[in-house]
Amino acid sequence: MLRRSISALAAFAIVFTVAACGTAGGSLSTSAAWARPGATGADTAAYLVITNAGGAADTLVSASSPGATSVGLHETIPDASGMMGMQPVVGIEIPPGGSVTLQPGGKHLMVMGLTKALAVGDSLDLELKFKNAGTVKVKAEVKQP
Amino acid sequence: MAQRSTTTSAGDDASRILDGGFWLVLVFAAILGVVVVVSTVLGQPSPNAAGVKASPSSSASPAPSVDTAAFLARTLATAPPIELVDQDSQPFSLASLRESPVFVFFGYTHCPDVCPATIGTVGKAIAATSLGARAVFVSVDPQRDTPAWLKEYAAYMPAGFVPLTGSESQVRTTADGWNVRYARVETGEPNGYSMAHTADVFLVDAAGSIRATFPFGTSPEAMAAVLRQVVAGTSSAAPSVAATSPTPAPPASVAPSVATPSPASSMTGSRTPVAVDVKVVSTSVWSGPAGPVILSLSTGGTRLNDVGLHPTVQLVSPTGDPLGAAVQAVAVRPPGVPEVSYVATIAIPQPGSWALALTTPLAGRRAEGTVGFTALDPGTTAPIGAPAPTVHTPTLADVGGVAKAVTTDPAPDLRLSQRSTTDALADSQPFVLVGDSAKFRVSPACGRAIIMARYMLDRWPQVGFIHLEPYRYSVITDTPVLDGTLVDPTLTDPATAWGVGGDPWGVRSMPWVFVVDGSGVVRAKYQGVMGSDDVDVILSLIAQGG
Repeated sequence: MLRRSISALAAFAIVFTVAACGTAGGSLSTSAAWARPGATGADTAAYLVITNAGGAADTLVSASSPGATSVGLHETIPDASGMMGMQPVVGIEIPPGGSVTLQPGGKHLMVMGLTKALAVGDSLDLELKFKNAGTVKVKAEVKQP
Repeated sequence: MAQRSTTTSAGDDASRILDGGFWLVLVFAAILGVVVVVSTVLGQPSPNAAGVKASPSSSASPAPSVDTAAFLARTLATAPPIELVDQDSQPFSLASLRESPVFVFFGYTHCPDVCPATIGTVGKAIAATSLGARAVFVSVDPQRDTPAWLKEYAAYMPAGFVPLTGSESQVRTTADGWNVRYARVETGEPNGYSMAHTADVFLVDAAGSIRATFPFGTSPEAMAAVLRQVVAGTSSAAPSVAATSPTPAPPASVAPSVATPSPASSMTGSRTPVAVDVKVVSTSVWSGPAGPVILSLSTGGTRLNDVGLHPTVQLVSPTGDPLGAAVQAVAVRPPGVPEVSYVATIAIPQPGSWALALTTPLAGRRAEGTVGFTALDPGTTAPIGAPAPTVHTPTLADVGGVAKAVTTDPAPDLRLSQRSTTDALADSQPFVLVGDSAKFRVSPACGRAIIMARYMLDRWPQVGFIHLEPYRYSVITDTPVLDGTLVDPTLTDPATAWGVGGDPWGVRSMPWVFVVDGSGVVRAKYQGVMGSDDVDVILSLIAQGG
């Protein structure tokens, strides 16, 4: 009986999180999405936290935005000589029960070719495609951290 | 309704929710939710708590926790010149900002992550201190960063920032002067390339000396604290700042083309020496035993292509002290190439920033120049100057002619898989070993070393070019297998994977290239981005018996 209640609680917590965040696909939720401002035609980056409350890993495989020509999954890494470089990432795995933070200086969404300028206070729509959860829509707040 | 939005794994449990303890669970969940929201809201300020106390505008007390000595320069060096154009296409000189402290850093506007983060940090440090500091952003991507584009971009920079650009060579010369390295990296996306670059921020004081260097990721609080200290003239907290005077004599006499913050401007002779513009051509320079450093020399923008020249090259430490004996560089002109390179064989005691001071007689006069460079850590890789590892790399014949077992290149050049390193060693044949993969691109440079080898193979028919695919081939699935992840791959160690003894090459990354001479000695090695010019010069050096 106790065990039953706990598993029921866990299941409900998932429902609750999904409802609270609004932007979710299955057991995935996103939070704290933001992007840097930029001029029309410029490239910028978007960041967010992706949490996987489910029991199986999921992978962010691609992203797109109606506000940009393309969006890539990138990671900033210093190379052997100390240069900071970016490299495309094939997929970003979100472990079961874990979360991945896309943040400056690490993994990020590289937003290429803004179709209109982004100013602080605007928002940028993003569509994230996950291997299992499918498409998840996210609104990133434009801000200068 | 609740059932539908749960995941499939939870569906079974969800149906039970509807009976029994449903309300109990709802109350629990609501409490849990409140706790989560509250902790998220409250959690925000806590990591900054220390910084928050120190930062708000009161410029009186610098953040107590910042170790400013970690950033301050130990010796005073004059800031190398910056003579470029600004967003209005107007000539701009760093010297025009004398009287103000200036943050100098390099980047590019299509950089979405590192550069905006740095701009934000520097902007905050300037705003927090109200000391009239300025910032100069030098583009390393002049192809896209035209003045007109910089003007657009400037609108997104904090006040007091000057974005600069110039011609490819002006930018390269400027960056070399600051010991800033950058390289174009193809992203593989439509018309996409990015620029890898060193991302340090330099602080130049009002007298034009570099007073501090901040690595990427330094907090605005730390930058502000160092700036305050430098402006207040109290930077003698740094271990060995020259005891003479906090403001060094502004050097009016620095020749613009001698472009290092390091010393070597030993203006001893009464005649001013000719300034030589020295560039390091080698894409990888390693610390450790003596290895080749390929240099190109030019004066007044014209490259020196004199095979009779044997410049003297001295290693100089970051603090300006000569280290070890000076060596004579060897002139090398690869077959069919008009340009002459000069190869200095130098032992560098440890990884990090170094400089080379070069002198040579030139048309009856003394010519000199310096260049800064970074020595890389060779890790466990086979050392230069030592016998090559004896492991047998697999050939096509070893795997029954199955090309997929020796290369992931969809259109492989199987000439690269005909011989093993052991064949070349047995025949005293110079060889180039290329560890690279076309399929598993763990870095943007992957796949390009193979292309370089294919090109070089035609130029050097007497040299063995050997491709080693650093991944496992699964006979059962008939595919190459990536062990580990792309981010952290497990490379095949040829000694164990093929069960044919010998010591391995000790690499933990890719791509990499080793050049071995006819005596079986490792002469050069490269990691990551590598130039075909580089390997060409080393092979020429070996061919001419150098």
